[in-house]
Amino acid sequence: MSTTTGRLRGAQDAGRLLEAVDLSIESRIGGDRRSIVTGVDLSLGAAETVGVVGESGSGKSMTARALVGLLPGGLSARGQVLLEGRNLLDMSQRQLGQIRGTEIALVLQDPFTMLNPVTRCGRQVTDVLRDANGRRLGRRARREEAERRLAEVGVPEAVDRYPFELSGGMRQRVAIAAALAGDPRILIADEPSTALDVTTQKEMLDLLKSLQVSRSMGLLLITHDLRVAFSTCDRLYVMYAGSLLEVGAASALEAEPLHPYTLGLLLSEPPADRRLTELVAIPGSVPAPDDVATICPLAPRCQWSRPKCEAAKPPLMAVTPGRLSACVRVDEITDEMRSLRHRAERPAAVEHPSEVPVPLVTVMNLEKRFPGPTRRRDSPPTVALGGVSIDVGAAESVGLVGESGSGKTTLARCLVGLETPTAGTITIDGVDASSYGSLSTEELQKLRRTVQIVFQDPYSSLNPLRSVGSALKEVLELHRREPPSAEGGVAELLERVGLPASYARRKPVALSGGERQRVAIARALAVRPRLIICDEPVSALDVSVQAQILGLFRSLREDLGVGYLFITHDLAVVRQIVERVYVLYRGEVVESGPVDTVLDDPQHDYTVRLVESVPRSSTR
Amino acid sequence: MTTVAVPPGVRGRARLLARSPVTVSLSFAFLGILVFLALFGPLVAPNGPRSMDLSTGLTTPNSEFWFGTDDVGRDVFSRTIYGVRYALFGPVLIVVGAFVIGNVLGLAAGYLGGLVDTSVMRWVDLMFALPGLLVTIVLIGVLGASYLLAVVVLIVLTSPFDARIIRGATLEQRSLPYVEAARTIGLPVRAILFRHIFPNVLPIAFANAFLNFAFSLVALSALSFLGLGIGPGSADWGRMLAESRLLLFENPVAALAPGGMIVLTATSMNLIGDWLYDRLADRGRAR
Repeated sequence: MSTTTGRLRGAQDAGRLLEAVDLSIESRIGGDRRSIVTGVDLSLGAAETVGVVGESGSGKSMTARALVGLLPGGLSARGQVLLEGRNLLDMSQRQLGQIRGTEIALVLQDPFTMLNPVTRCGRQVTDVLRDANGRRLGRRARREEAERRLAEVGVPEAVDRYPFELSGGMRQRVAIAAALAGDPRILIADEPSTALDVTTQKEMLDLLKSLQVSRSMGLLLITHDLRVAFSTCDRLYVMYAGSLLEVGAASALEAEPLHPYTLGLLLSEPPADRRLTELVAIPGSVPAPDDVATICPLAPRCQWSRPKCEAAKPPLMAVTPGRLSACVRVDEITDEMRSLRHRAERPAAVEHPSEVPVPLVTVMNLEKRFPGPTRRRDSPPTVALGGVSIDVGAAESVGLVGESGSGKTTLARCLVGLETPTAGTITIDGVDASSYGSLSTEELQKLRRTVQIVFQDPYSSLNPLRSVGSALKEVLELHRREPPSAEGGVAELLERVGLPASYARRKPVALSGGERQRVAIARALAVRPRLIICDEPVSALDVSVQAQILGLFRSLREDLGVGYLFITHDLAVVRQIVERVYVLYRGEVVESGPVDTVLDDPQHDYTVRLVESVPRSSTR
Repeated sequence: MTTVAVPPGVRGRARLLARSPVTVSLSFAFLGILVFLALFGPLVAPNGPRSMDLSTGLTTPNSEFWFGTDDVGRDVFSRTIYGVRYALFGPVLIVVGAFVIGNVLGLAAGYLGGLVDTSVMRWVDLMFALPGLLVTIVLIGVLGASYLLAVVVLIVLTSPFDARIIRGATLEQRSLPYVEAARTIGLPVRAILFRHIFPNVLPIAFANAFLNFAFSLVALSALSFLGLGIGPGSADWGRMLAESRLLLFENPVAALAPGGMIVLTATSMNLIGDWLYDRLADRGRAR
């Protein structure tokens, strides 16, 4: 690996601040050793923004933590982390403590747990500040400093507030101000925008970028989102299963990826500005680093894999100046990758039915209020839905777009009877479904067989103790129609969602996130519903898996004619799946219409903001 | 993003020691011996539980009477063995009774909510507010000393603990998507409760049953010690302890043997309960 570092060094040696050389991270729990990161070289220059991109399990977060000496217990790092020649891995915690905050600072993903809940934000920012003599600042100086620094991140009003009084985005800003309190030269941001709403995400990235420029810091951004990385970073490191697969300038990487994995990742993220004819996904799921220690980590999932890919683990090699790729076949397959990308990015027209479909679900002026936080009579109720009217036609695919708190999930839960609406009516296939509790058994059965739901979190939507087969069989037996044998039914269902029939014997724990979501879809299909409500069904999945599931949704629709009510915050996803879209904002529909019209020419302010918040490299 | 392992050393050393397989295997071995003695005790015991030999009188441990004899010449070793039956029988009844009542009420309260929840929980609150052992003593004092009555009263007093714990666990499961999916599919409430939720709260119910066992054994022994449970002269550990406490200087083993057995049995039940909880809670998480 050190040879590649040598090559890199020749390419760009200017102002190197932080450097990792042959960094490996290993976990040791009991007698069980597992590698998490193997032989990673990376560098960060002054005033440079570098991105580390990878899916979950790629080791990117642990790499970030190793760089600041904050690995969790049981994990240890080998190799070198050089901060201007000093190896951080050799330092004591005490020495590291002097470096953290003043030379390197870290911002984490979750703004809700990063701040001390019982301390005012101003104090969290100024606590570490000292004057030139190393003494604490005076009261007035502290306050001025807190105001100045919170103004720098755009939340001057937060000085006297507690973290719980702020929104997620504001907290993340305070956390950034606190991280920058010691004026570090390097800021490491681990998924700083992932836990935030889409419109806030863009603001956060813009803020980080502008801080990086105005303070001329080195910024290391850890993200799973290639679009975010392209729009923010100068250089990118692509990590997969604990290894680096590709390194290069962000613009060059976007123009032409030189590793099949980067290409796959790029194609797996659907664009928000057009619908694609075909969603290209990387099959399978991310392996454990130890399972692919001696081969190309991508080989089991790569369509260009040849025996030589599995002969040895390919090192990072310079392809063109400044570009490194760990693909041994990169020269042979460049043309094929190019043509695949060309094919995959062909736009498709959204097909609109020539006539207005018969409405299957009609929601009229639906209201849902939750009681206020206290039982006191004067505490105002939370309005989740304030008079929403939508309809979904038979075999139609309709999107419901909005941020957290917009009421989209509440609407879905009302439709399947998990919540009872406060006012308004729901009609499903002629049955009044406003109050599930007052329906007869026959009516209930009819509703169940018409509408089903798929939830967001694949890890808790299956009973951990029951095998996949028994979970599906239970549904098939409950809703038996023209009875084929139950076993045949289970195998058929699994095949429908792209799983081998042998999975029937497996427990959910033996399945990956994507596979679990497939089982959840199969369970909904077992009823043979006419409409499946999908509540953020892909947002908990890795990008490469997300594309697989979206592809599955599309093919199920073609084969079975099932319709979707697709709930998501992701405009790119909604673009690929639905014909019509409703935009929900604070419990009200603010805009609706054909998906291409709404996304290409948004009318309402909120929709405009939503569309603009999609990361694009061209907006840089 | 990457799963972060629980750092070792979070649990104290004592806790680790208490969970180490050696103590657990010892507890299981001890439980095995107890079950064996409960079934085949009469074949093992050298003497009958009540056979007195006044000519022998009070003796210290010797080759004929391993634990010595008490003041009326009964063999302490044999009586300790016969005592196993009482020690297991009553607590097992209490545990099973409380398990059934507590689980049904807890599942119903947690899943159905509303009026059911309110009534069950107010009953639980009421039972918590009562000083348990005192109520038992008064009840038995009024209705007359009887082992079975003590067992019934203890079932009623123990089940609220199960009910409350199971209710909490059920509430947690109820809001999980897999339960909501089962509801959306239209599974009957009974199927959701017993086929889906119950298996997932079972580890907690099970661990709690072992803790209840230890508690019931001590409570029953205490009642016997006070002369409120089982009749005089019975080979019950609590009773033996009461009757032999005056012999502490002449034959200390006569009091120490039943007392030690109570402590050992209760301790092993606690250890097994903890260990089982850890094992069962991992079911479905690790293959």
